[in-house]
Amino acid sequence: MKHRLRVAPIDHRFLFLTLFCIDWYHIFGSDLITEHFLVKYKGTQNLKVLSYKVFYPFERESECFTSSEDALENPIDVVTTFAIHINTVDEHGYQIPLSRGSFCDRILHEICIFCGDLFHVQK
Amino acid sequence: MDHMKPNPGVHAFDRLRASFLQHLKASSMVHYDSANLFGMIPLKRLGANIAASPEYEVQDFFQLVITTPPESITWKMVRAIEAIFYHHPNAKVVVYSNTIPERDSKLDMFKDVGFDVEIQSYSFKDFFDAADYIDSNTKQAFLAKLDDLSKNQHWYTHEADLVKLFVLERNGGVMLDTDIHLVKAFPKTFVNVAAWRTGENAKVGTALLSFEKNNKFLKGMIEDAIDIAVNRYSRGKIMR
Repeated sequence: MKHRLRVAPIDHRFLFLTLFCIDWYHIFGSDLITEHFLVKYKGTQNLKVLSYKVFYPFERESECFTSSEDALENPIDVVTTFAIHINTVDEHGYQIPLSRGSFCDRILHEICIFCGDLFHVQK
Repeated sequence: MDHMKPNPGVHAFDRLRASFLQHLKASSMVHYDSANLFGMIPLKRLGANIAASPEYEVQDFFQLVITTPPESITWKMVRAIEAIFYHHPNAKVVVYSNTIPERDSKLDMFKDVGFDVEIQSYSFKDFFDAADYIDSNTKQAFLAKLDDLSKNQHWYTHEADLVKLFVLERNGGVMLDTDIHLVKAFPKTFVNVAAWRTGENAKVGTALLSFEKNNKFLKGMIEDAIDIAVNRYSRGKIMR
């Protein structure tokens, strides 16, 4: 509650300033590249945008850390998926812990080098 | 002999040795220090120069940017780098950071076991020196404003995005965020690529990018980004 009270006046002030973008984090990242690809350099041959399945197969990425393989339909396509993006920060800014038996638990145990460390973290 | 496929078992063996060394370090520093003293570290990998993915040609140059303090390196970030070396044991990984020290960081574990990790510092002045496509007045204005920019709450993430663009344009190669986990080897044919974030194709993701150097699209993005930072960036947001 304390936190909310401290943040509230700042948010309130910005409600009046609608000339600001809402998305703070992706100004020079996703927002910029999307604008360039779809508007400024529409039809460019200097960038190919692949299907979401190639690097971002999860619809809700945190579910990879929390849901078991049985509950979560495997979104990884054996042929087309090369990477998974696992942003597991919740809406309050905290890291969601990796649950034993979750989908990512299996992947992170299969594709590892210092595998012993992960077991240690989970204990 | 020339037609024999390389033995993929050497890489699995290297991984087991790496894991063992890490276990040894965690359980007794005496053993680790002795190994250091007698020149056993860094380990000499059996799979050095032996291809790990004979099925197709893979990328061998990966880059990351870390703008947060050393203590922010989580096991998940370390695992992301492990995934790179798991699939590309002979790759070079460069971490661009002004916060992570070149020695005595969590990334030393990769160097200890013979993987090629390098931590490089950066400066916007150096990026600008190599960027003749940006107007010199804009460069000056950005550098003059940099101190103020860095005071913004979200600057660490914005700085990382800018550094990613400059580094990719200058060096080419693959740039990954620290929350990307490779599930198989990254093909060499993936050049000048990004991917949509969702099935609706509304936003292009930047967590994993692969570009050739001097890419025109990247140059255009950088020009725009610097213009935004100089003229429209305020309190971590953009004025329309």
